[in-house]
Amino acid sequence: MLFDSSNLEAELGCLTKPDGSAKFTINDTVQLCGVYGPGEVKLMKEIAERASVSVVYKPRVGLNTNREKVFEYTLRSILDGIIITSLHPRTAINVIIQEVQNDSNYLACSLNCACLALLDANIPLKYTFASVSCALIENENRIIYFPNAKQEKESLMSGTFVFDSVDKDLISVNTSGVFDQDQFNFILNNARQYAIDKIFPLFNKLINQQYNKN
Amino acid sequence: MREVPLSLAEYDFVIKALQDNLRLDRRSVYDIRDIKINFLKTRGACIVSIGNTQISAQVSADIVKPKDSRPNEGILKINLELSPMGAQHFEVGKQSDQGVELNRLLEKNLKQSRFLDIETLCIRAGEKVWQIRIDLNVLNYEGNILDCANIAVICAVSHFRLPEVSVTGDQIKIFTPEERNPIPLITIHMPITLSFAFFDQGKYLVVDPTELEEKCMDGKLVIGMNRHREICTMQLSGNMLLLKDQIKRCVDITANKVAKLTEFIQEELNKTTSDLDQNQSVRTSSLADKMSLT
Repeated sequence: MLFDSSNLEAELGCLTKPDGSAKFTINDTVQLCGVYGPGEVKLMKEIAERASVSVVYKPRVGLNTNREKVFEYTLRSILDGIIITSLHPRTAINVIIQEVQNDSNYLACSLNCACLALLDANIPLKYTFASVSCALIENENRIIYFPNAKQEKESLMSGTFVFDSVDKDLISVNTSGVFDQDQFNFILNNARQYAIDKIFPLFNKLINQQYNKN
Repeated sequence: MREVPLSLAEYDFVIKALQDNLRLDRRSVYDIRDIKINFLKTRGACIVSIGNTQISAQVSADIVKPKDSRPNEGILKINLELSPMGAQHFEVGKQSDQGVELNRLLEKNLKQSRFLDIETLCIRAGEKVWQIRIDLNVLNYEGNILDCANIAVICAVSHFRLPEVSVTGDQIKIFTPEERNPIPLITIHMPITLSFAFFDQGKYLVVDPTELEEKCMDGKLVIGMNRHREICTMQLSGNMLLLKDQIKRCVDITANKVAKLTEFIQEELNKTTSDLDQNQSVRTSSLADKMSLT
């Protein structure tokens, strides 16, 4: 049985200063994302044939620690592959993600948020992407989409999947826990279906609203 | 990325408009932009916006050893970060001159005016006290960070609840929210700041300057005051001199605005506390509904 009570909400262009911004809510997790660029690049970061993408992840409390560094690294490696960086050589694209409210699903939330903010900033992308995180509950073979912190801890495995919008192929996956090939395929297919059913339509709806308004 | 420089045309335009008592956002010179206070689900978190300037605040508490010079006082830390999300020229980690000035002003206004009763934060003198830390992040910079941050700190601190602690002999026990209701922090007064921007050697004055006005101004006067008309901070920066009467007039304007703002903040706070109390019962019932559905 698939049990889904996830509350997904998104907002485009909630900040005036960044070139693009978005807010994404998954249950009790809220994140804001701002995108600046393409713009002037620091000499040290300049790359002759493409834009340099940098990601800053700001925690809710305190200063940056290793946890934030890991997030920044993961996000950067995903975004760098999706943004068509060769169109803007010798520029910088800065993505800043701010935690507003914490629960779990950080990576999925920041990726969805970043995708919307990049769209809002009119940065050329190879495709849009949607991220789903899910947990497999041990004995029932049941999947929980966007588990909360407690569910994630109790689960057999949990993972965050990223899909592209064109072929609905897997771009990136991040898992924790022990599982076999069949379980992985099972959870992957379900996550893909969830992205097709829930997240891409949400993106479409938002973009439609945004551009029909003007 | 570098800051977008101010063009001469823009500068002239702002000054010319001010000569006719006009501002670019159609405000009158003594108006403050709309203030919105948005409390989040977690205790001690809020987003405050003045016009388009947005700042998020988050309060957190830790138990630490007190300072040797003040063994029976808790510690209050205010940390305002000019997050790169706020504007393209803000950078991570590096404290700019602007950042240092804002942090100092906030400290002066709140910490040194004893806005929070830090003696109540003492658990055991000389050994353990609460450290209250307030993290502020500038989400969107459209001028007047100080006033926005100041209100954000006041709101977040008033919204925060501290876990209850009991001391028996050597044992210190911290109660979880389920065991005992957390207690609010004790604030003594609300020192609210108001920023004035001066143009043309103090000839023109503007309340709550926007980013463009901040770039064009000659100098800035910050007055922090509570509703009893007690001045907590006063700072004049920039290259200009003011007459005594001008400062007196600014103090009068501040007193007027502070009275209104205090009332507004109090109202918003009361609204959320009653909302939160109601929500608690609503939340449990909806959970029960969900359980019966599965």
